[in-house]
Amino acid sequence: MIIAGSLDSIALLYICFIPSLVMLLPFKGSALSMIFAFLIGLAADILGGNILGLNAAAATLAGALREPILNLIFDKDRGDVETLPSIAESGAAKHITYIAAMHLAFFALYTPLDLMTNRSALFIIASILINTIVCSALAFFLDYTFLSKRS
Amino acid sequence: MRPRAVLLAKLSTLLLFIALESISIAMVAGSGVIHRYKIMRVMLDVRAFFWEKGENFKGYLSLAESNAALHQENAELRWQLSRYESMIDLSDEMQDTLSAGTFSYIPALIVNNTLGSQHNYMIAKKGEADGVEVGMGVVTQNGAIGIVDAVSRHYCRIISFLNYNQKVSAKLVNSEYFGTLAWTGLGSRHAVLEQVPVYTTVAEGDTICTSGFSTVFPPNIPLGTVASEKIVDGSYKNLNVTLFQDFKAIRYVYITRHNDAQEINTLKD
Repeated sequence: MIIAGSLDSIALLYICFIPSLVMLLPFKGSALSMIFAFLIGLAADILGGNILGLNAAAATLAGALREPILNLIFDKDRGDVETLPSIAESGAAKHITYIAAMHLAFFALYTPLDLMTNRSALFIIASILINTIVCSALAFFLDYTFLSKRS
Repeated sequence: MRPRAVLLAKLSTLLLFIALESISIAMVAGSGVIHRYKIMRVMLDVRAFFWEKGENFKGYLSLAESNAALHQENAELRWQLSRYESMIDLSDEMQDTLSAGTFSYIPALIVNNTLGSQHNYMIAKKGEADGVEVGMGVVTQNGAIGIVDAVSRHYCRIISFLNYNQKVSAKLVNSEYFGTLAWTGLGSRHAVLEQVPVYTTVAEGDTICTSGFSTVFPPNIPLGTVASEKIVDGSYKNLNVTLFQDFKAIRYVYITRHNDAQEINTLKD
C-alpha cells in the first residue's frame, strides 16, 4: 500500500513540470504566455486524468504573472531577448527567485482549487509553501543540470 | 507605443486572462459536485459583497427620500401618541369624547431660517395645499419653534421663537406652575420663563415644557432647562432657561394642528 501510495505521489510529480514549462516559454508578453500556459495546463488535465481545468487555471495565472516576474527579476540582464537568461548570465540567486516565484504563482491557485473540500486555511497555506519549495528545488536541479550549459 | 495603445493592450490582456480563468474555473466546477458547491459558495459571497455595496450606495443616494418618509412616519406617530396620551386614565366613555381633542402633525422642511435679527423668521415647504393655516404652531422634538403667520400655496412663513414678539406658554415638568417663555435676545439658546409664582420651588436643571394651555402647541414638549432664577418685585420669579433646540440646525419640523381649534377659539371670542 505504501509502495502504491509512493507511486501515486511520483505520478503526481508531473505537476511540478507545468510551471517549469510555462517558465521556459520563448515569448515576450503576457497574452501569448497565458494562451500557451492555458493549453499546457489543459493538456496536463486531460492526459493526467485530473480534475479538468485545475492545471489550466493555475498555469494561466502563472502565464499571466510570468512577464511581470521576469521584468522584476531580470530587467537589467534581459534586454529584448525573448528567452530566459542562463544561470551563467544572471546568477543562481536570480534563477532561484524566478523559479520560486513562478511556482508560488502556480500553486497559489492550484492548491486551494485542489483542496477546496474541507481543509483549513492554514493547511492550504502550508501545502502551497511545501509544494513551492519541493517543486522549485526539483526545477532548479533540472535547470542547473540540463539547461545551464545552453549559453 | 502611444499611451492609448498601451492601455488597450493591457486591457485586452486582462480580458483574456479573465476569459481563460473563467473557462478553467467553469471546467473545475463542472467536474465534481463538491467543487461546484464550493465554487458557487465563493461566487455567492463575492456577488453578495457587491450587492451589499451596491445597496449601500443606492441607499446613500436615496437618503433624502428616506428622511422624508421617516419624517412623515414620525408625524403620524406623534399624532397617534398625542391621541393615546389624551386618553390615558380616562374611562371608555370619556375616551370617546376626548379623543378628538388632539393635535395632528404636518411634517415640513425648513428652506430658509434667519438668526441675525431681533425679529427672525423661517420659511417652510408646506402651504395651503398641505392644510397649513395661519396661527398653527411649529415644533420639533426639542422645542417650540414658532407660529405660522403667512401661508402661500406651497410655502408658509413662521415667526421664529427667536423673535421679541413671540411667547410660548410653558410650565415646569412635574409641576402645574406655568409662565410665559420668551426669547431674551441674547444668543439663540437663552430664554426667560416669566411670571412664575414666587413660592414655586425650582432647582437648577429642572426641565421646562409646553403647558398645553393653547391651541397652538401640544402639551409636554420639552423646551429647555432652568439655568438660574431671579425674583422680580417680590411677587414672582423669572427663570433663565437654556433651550434644548439649536436654532442654527433646524431642518425638519412639524406644523401642529389642534383638531378642535376652531371650536375653542369661538368660545374665546
